[in-house]
Amino acid sequence: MPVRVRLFGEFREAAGVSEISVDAKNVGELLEKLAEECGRLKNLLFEGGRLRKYVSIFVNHRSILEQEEVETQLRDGDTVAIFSPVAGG
Amino acid sequence: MERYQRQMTIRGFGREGQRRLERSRVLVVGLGGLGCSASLYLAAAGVGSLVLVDPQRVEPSNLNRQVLHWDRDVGKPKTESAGEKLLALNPQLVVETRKEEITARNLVKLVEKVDIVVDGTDNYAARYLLNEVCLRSHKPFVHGAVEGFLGQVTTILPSRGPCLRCIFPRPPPEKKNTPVLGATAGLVGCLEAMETIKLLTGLGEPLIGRLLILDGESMHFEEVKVERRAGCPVCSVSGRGGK
Repeated sequence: MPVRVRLFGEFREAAGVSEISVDAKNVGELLEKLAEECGRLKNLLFEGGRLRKYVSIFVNHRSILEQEEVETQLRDGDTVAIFSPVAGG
Repeated sequence: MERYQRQMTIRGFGREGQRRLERSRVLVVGLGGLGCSASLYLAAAGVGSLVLVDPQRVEPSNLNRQVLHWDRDVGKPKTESAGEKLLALNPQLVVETRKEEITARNLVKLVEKVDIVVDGTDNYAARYLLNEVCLRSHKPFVHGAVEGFLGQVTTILPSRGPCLRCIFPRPPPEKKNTPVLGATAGLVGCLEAMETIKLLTGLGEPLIGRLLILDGESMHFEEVKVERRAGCPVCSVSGRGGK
């Protein structure tokens, strides 16, 4: 079930691509696959084996916090956006 | 009105749009890279009154991006330095300056008397406070932030769309001396000014429920659609957000 993953900011820089297609049944599996492919992404996404709290993940415009968090199910054609806030002013 | 002629001829803007700007009062919190650029364009556009808040004094390391503060201003309060330039640009402007940190206490009063709040801060403690007070006061909040070549902008309207906490539930780790290219801050500040002018005049489509992420390095501007979170601890508990 390929889903479209849009990466922004530091995630994009680490992966070297802005978009990637990944086969995953839920968000947790998707993140694991991204982490396996790229060590820098793994560090940006996880801390002590858990997803960093400030990483925003939206599946089809809805935050995963609003759904089942990393258990959020993915369907063919879903779009997942991964970004984190910048802070400077 | 001659000084505004070139914007009054924009379709839909006219004398009425200009009058709306003149009757408006905008709070700019933070006079760093974002606040300098945003307030400069709001003043030039003819916004009637600006309330400028910043507790800091100008330092040499500010000068690559905080374009209202010049070499001669090092050591001056940022509010004084910015206020002076904005009045020189547009003497019709009314400027109120507050050299103070925002707190839960003073912010309520500041927000009460303005139409819109512009984010010129550099940390999420201040941004979350602005988000919360603006929601409670039913005032629009235009958010911007930058780092390096990256920027983000969105507009929070209490009755529509998500709040800042819906989009960014937790702050990023604090960094001392975040790297920022002056042009990135200038660009994001301009976008914040544009959002503010659109809301004040009723023109265009504001960035409500849309986070604009821009990357100056690759020169990509992209939008992420973001919905309100029913479980958001700020806008759902308050019950002020509508749908």
